[in-house]
Amino acid sequence: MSIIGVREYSNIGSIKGPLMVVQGISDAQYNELVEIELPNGERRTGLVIDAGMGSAIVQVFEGTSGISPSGVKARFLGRGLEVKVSEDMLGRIFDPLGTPLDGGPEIIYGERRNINGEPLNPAARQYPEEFIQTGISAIDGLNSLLRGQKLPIFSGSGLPVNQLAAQIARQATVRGEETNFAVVFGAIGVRYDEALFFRKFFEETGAINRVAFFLTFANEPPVKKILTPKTALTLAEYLAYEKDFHVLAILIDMTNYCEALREISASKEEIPGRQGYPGYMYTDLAQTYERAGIVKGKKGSITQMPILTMPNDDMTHPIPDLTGYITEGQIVLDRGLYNRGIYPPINVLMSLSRLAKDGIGEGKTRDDHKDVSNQLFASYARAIDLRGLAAIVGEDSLSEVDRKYLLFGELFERKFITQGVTENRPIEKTLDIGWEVLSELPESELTNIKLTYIKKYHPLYREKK
Amino acid sequence: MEKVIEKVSSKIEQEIMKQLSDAKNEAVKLIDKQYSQYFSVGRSKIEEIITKSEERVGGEKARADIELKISINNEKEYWLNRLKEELKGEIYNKMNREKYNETLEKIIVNSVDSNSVIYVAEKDEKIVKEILKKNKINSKTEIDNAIIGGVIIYHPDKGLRRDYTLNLILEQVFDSYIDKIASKLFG
Repeated sequence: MSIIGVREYSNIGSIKGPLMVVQGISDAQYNELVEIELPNGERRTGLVIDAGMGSAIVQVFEGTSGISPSGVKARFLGRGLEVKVSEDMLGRIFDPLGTPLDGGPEIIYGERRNINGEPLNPAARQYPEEFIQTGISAIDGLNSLLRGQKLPIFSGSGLPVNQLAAQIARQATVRGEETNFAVVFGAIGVRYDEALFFRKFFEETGAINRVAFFLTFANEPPVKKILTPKTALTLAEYLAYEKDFHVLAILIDMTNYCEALREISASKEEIPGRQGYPGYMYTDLAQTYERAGIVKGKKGSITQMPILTMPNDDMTHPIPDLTGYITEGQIVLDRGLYNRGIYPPINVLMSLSRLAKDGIGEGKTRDDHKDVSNQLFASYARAIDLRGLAAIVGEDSLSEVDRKYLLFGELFERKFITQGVTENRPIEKTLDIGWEVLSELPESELTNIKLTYIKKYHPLYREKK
Repeated sequence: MEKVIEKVSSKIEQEIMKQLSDAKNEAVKLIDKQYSQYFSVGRSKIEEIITKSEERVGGEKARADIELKISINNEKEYWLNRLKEELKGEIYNKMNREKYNETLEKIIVNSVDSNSVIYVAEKDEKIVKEILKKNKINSKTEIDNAIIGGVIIYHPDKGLRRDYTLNLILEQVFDSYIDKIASKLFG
């Protein structure tokens, strides 16, 4: 640690939005941490975002309201934005600056880390191959999540994504390594009642002591909101690569993050890109999403599930569009399913896990997993097509087999997709339910499944045994 | 004739017995099936109640664990802050006086100009004035009793304050070594 004289300036040139110009300083470092003291003794924190000869522009995290050019002192601390991270953060709630929000004390034991992290050596990355059980059939069965993967959830306004995120945080585990599993939850710009919901859910379900919660509220300044995923992932990296935890990082809601980014970009008078979002939004998102994976030689891992709300349910909106380029698939929530009372309303036809095939099957989940997954997908796709046809020609005009597909579609949604908020299904139960709904179809239709698996797992043959 | 009647009666009797037996078997099957269904429903309800209770107990235990962790850390924080306050009182007296004065002189010579104002603790005012006189620097000094040791140099023309106090050094060093201090104190 180097101790340098702390420089304190009181020449504030101008204040614009969240930005403050400090004059008379020529040795400010880019991204240097600044402490701002108001005449009434109040202290705020900021970061140098532009340093020139004779002035520095400081972005104030708590906003600049109440700050006037006279009487304010800006103390340049000679270090970047670092947060103390520790295993003791599990079970606690913090803001992105590391300040406790649960009434508890500051972290005592731990290491100071720069929240921007270090890029991972691409040659040191290991390909994800290990299954994570979320306990949700629509994910585990058809869009399996693997350790080290980045799999976002694309939601829409009003859909129950908070319940789904909380359920995943509570239930997710690497089978056989349950004790080394931790969840880092980054809540970006959430409402107070949402924050309360998450806290109560984790407390009541006993998951609280394996979850570290980083929180910014909707009414907080945008510069503070954009720090939330960075701090959350800094802790995730520490727990994964230093303490050998398998970490699931859930970031909710990345739409709020991008909106904050847009606000800050506009206040900096940067040239806007698509729909007013900054042109560097792709890079910025990639810097967040790429902080995941498995490193060779390290036992731990970071799996990311960023959650975003598609404005107007539009998947071509810049936020889901750019996210889709970076991440390894997506879980899409469907408003039509939600309106029919199905929870979780996961549209399995629009969802995809690009790495799923490498983490399922014999020795990993169950030998019939791949075949059952393919068959369920194919059969459900046909059922959806037939629904459209039935709407035109009427169900009575369909063949016997087609009517069975319609029934299959209904059962698939009601039995396989639908499950309780606290229902945790092991993969074996997910696959058995899959077999149960597939048994509605004639055996001759199960063309994606090997005969050996049919004879082994099909309910008809099981009953006979 | 009697033999025929007997034969037919026997046949009818056998038929009736067979049908009664079949009916009985069917009835048993139906009862078994119904029983299995009720048993299954009852069992899953019991399992649900057990799971919910386990969850509730687990939740209470987790909450208690966290509260205990926070209480312990609060206590540790209290004692660490106490130690920091004690150190503030003691650090000045433990300094090597000669090295301290040398460092003060270096700071003043490198950072002060004629427009500067030097904030210093009352106990150090004399030595600072001697340093200024020795180096022919024409600067004002002001007493600030919040300072434990060292100086703050203020340049009013630039609006710049440079902090070279023991307060700041203690704050930064204590913060960096807090893990080790806590390990020594609490194990």
